[in-house]
Amino acid sequence: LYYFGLYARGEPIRVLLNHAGVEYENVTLAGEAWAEFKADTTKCPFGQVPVLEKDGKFLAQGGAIVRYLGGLHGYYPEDLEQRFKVDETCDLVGDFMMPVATNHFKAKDAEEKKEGWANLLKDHYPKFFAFFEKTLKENSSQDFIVGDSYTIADFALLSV
Amino acid sequence: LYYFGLYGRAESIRILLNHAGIEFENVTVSGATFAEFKADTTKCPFGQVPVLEIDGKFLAQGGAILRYLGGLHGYYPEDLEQRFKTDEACDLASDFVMPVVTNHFRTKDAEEKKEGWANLLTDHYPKFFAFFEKILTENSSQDFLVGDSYTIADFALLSVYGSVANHPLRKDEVLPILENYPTLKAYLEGKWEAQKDYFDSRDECSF
Repeated sequence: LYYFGLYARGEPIRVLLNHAGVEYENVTLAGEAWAEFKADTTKCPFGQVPVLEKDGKFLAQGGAIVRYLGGLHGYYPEDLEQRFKVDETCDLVGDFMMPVATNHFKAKDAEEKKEGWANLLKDHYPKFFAFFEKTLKENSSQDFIVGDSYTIADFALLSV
Repeated sequence: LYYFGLYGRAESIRILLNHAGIEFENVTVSGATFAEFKADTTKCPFGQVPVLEIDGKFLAQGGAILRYLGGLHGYYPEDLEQRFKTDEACDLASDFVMPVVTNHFRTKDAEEKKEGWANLLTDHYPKFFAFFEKILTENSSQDFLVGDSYTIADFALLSVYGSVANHPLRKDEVLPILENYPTLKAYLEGKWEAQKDYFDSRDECSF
C-alpha cells in the first residue's frame, strides 16, 4: 500500500487489512520518493495515492480499493439494500471528514483556521455525530453500522 | 428524485434511469422548498440532496443511490475486478468535476475565478482527458469504460461531460482540448448521440 505518512485516505484500507488478518507492506511516500512514484504511470496510473499493489496490478482511488477489498473479504453485503446502507454511510463519512481536512490543510491563515475550527466544533461535529447516532439506532444491531457484522462502513467511520 | 435545478450530483442518476427506461418524478427544490424539504428528516435524512424516494423509502447520497440503481438494473458488475474498475472510473469522474465546480461556485473574486478557470483549461482538463483516454484504450471495448456494456461509470462520466465540457457556457473553450484525445472524444460523442433524445429534452442548467 503506497500512501503519504497520514491516516486520511489510506487508513480505512489499513484498518480493513488488519481486521482481515492480511499482511501487507505499508510504503510511506514523501518529497522525492513521492515525486518519483507519481511520475511512474505504471505504478501510479492517475498521479494520486493511495495505490494498492496487488498480484502485479496497481489499483488507484481509495474508495474503489476499499470496496474491492471489502468484496474479497466479506465486508461488502450481497444484498442491494444492505449494500446501499453501507455506501450511504461511507459517503457520509467522506462528507464528515472533508471540511475538517480542508480547514486543517487549506485554511489561508492562522486566524481563519482557528475560526474555522471553532465553527466545526459547534456545527459540523454535532451534525455528523447525530447522523451516525441515527444510523446506529435504526440498525438491527447497535454494534455495527449495517447488519450484524463488520462492513467497510465500520472501517471508514473508525478511520475517521 | 429530489434535487436542485442543476445537473450536478443528480444527473448521472437521471441518465441511468433514462437508459433503463424507468419513469420517475424529477422534483426540483430551491430556496423555500429546499429549506422545507431539508427540515423534514423523514424525507431528507442527512440534510442534503439528491434524495431518491423509492418504495416509500428515502435514499440519500448520490454515489450510493447510483450504485444501488446500478445493482438493480445491471449496470454494476458482479465480477470484483470489473467492479473495481467501475468504482475507480466513477471516483476519477468525481475528481475531474470537483475543482471545476469549486471554481464555478465558490471562488468569489472575479479575478481569482478567471485565473482559476485558465489554470483548469491548461492543466486539469488535459490531465483528466488523458486518464480517461488511457482507461478506454486499455479496456476490451473503446465504446465503454469497463467491459462491453453500460456501467454506472459511463453514466457518471457522461454526466460530467455534459456539465464541464459539452455545455453551452463552456464548450467553445473545452471541446478544442478534447480534440487531442481521439478515443475519448469518439466515446463521448457516441454516448451523447445514443442518449440524444434525453439530452435534447432536458432543461438547461448552469451546471
